[in-house]
Amino acid sequence: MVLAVDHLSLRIPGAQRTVYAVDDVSFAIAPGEVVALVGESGSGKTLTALALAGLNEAAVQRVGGSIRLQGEELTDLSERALRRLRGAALSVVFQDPMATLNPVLTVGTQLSETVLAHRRVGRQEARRRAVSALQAVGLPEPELRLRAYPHQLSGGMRQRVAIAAALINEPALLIADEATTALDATLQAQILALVRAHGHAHGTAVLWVTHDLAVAAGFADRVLVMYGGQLIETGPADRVLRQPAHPYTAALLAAIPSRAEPGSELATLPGQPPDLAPPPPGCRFRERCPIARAECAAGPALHALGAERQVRCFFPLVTS
Amino acid sequence: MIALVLRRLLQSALVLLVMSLLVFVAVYAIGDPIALLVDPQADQHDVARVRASLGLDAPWWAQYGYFLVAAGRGDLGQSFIHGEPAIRLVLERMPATLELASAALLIALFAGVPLGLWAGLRPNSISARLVNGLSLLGFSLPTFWVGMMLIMLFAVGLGWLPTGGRGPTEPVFGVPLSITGIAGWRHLLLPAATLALFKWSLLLRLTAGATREAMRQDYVRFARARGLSPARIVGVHVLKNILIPIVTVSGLEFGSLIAFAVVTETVFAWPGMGKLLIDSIAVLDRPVVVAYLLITVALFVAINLVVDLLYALLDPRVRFGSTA
Amino acid sequence: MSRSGYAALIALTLLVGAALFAPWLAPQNPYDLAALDVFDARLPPGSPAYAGQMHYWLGTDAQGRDMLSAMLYGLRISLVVGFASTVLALLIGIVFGLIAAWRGGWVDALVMRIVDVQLSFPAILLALVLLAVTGPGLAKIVLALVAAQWAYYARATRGVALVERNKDYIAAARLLRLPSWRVLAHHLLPNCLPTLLVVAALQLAAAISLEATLSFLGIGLPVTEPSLGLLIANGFQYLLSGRYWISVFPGVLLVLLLVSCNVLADALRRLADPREAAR
Repeated sequence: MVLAVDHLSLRIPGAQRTVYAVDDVSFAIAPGEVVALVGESGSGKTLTALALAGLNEAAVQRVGGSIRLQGEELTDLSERALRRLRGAALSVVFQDPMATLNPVLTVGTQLSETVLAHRRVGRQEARRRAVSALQAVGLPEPELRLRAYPHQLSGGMRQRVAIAAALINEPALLIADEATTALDATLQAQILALVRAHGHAHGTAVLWVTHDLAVAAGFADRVLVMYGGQLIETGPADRVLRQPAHPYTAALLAAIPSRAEPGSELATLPGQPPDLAPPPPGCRFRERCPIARAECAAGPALHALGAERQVRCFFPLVTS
Repeated sequence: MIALVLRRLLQSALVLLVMSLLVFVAVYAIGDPIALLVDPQADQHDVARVRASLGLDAPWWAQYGYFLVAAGRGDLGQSFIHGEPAIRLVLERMPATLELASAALLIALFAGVPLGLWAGLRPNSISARLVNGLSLLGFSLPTFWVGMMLIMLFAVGLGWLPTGGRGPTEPVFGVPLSITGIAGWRHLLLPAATLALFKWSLLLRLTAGATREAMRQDYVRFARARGLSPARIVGVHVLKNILIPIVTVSGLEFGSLIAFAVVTETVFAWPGMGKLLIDSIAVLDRPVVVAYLLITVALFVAINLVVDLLYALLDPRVRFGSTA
Repeated sequence: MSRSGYAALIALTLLVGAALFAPWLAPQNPYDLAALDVFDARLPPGSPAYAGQMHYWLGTDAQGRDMLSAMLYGLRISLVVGFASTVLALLIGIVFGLIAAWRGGWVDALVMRIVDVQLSFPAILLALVLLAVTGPGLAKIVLALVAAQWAYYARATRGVALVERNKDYIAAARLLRLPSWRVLAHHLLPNCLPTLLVVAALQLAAAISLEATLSFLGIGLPVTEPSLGLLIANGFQYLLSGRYWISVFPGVLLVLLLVSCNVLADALRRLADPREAAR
């Protein structure tokens, strides 16, 4: 396994109330595997992903759990040691390609500084690696692009540059936080295909955080669904998406326009995600669940559903 | 880039023309110079003759034309007191003022920007509040009083530095400067520090605010995610961005430094053009006042031009235009 | 409001009170030449008077004037000039700012271009030139300060008014065919006031400081109406011979006044813009 996360819990203490944002999340990613972490905003998916790189704000506290990258425990590391890993062993790409690159530095500078921060190479070699990184993400005329400033590139090109910067040191793990959400569907598909191909070819593990199940469907090998700070369903992408076990996953799928029967009304999910300060007792989806029963007040654990799947529900929609 | 320079040059010329008209009309409105030039006993005929010989019988717009033509030749009239061309009097004293204002700007920059950066990186700390309070004090202290207190402390009390005046000058590329010797620096230190105080407060606040803002930007987050060192993030990524407003404001404030040099030069008996202005106002030497104003306006326009170009040089979005 | 804001408000109130009641508070009428005694000239702080029971707690100036009394009367003049010019500039600025925002089009463009050009030149230069033309005097310096400062208020008023103008309640008032001046005075103006108050507090300090500076340069107020700036200037020549009190004490009072204004303005700004306060 490239990454193994065990019993990770995060909270955000406040003057009045403490938000229990992430609760006992465990998962692992194998080399070359593409995993989609899916959930609504506020589900804790972004906090979970950023915690892996130690990039959360200081206000976000880790309560417990362990994060191991290639066998090395990250939660014990100092900021200094973590910094040596970021951009080298694991990389992060963010949502907004307009704001992610520094407007006053050239693409070339921002790519080669990433190399120079981690590798003992000269400027010439860093430059050369920048060119091949741009080539790898399918940017035409890479030598020319090195001299360009971010505002001279389109949104899609900028996100390719950001991904090139993330992959330039050949990390073992790539974390993407809504990295294609701001792009249109065609560009999104191109970039997803690119990352998937790169991941499979170089053995890079990919954790793709998104609110969009459709992204997960065409792209990921495996899906992790988060709700209210907990993992509620995990499993191979094709099986989870074809036959969701958790009512929440099913509701999300029903709300995707392209999957709905033509002419039928889109299903919408009534209600609000739970308030996590503190979280409600029992199953956190209970309030919005169409099949909730009295037993749900006890709160199900995440349990195995066959060999490859897990679900947090007393009454899963499929049985192993 | 060349189009930008040309456009700015044209705008500058226009502003200069408008300001010269304003100065001319203001002086024209003040009173009839004939009364000053002609013997009060002279009869109507004599007055008319003098008026005609000086071109003062022409309508005001024609007179403005003569004024412009003369100004174009570098002639802004003779000083009533010194009997020298007013423009020469002002230009002679300009190096002293520019030397003082430049020194003040450098002090404000080198003392204000690092401290502002330091405070901006720790937005909620006690030190940041202290810096904020310090800049508030700097805003509030009147320049002339600060100058006097510095004289009292360092010149009268401790006797370390002279009470006023400028050190001996040496020509540097034909411009007489005093900063070539130790004595020059000893004379320059107090007035420059006095003049710098207000701009120091301003730059301190500006830098702290811009740094706070920049640290919240996504590009800083992405730089952290790529494992760059804090030194590189602050020293390159943040600094290059906040340098844009800092350079712009410093440039624009340089004009105000020249204006406020009037006060500092009076306190420290610094022989610059500001002191010349105050002395000329006191004795009603109008041509010198006009010459000072027009030269200062021209200086301001030139400064604005340089700032615009610097801005374009620093910000690639301006330099290359936006394509996205 | 922050604690420092309240402290500044109290300090400012005390200073205004001291200025208002100066005739009753001051040990001596500093303008009554008969009350001055040349034997008492340039006495250090705490000296007893040559004749009579009085002590000069803050010393005397070159004419034998009690510094404390001179400062209280000087504070009065500084505050009168400051408040008068601030109120006048505020009124003029509001009128032009509202007209610019309300009429829009070329009127707006013209007013704002004038404002921009004026603000690109330092206020001190403009005031200096005006006073050079008109000569010193209380009314003239107020005029010069108004001319130098109205543009700040015009710009601030227009900025807020433009935002408010596009809100629904203004459209409703217009639909009701209320006269323009009514909409402006009863609906638009009250919404501009918080911003204007902050600008006014800042500009009050700037006006007082500018007046003191101009008086120090000898082109502000005549010697018969000595503001704090003029008192400081009068003591300048004695500073070099170690008679510090003639300049230092009025200066401390002036700084106290200016710091109070600026701290209050800062507190008001945070109050008017909570987003700013969170920073």
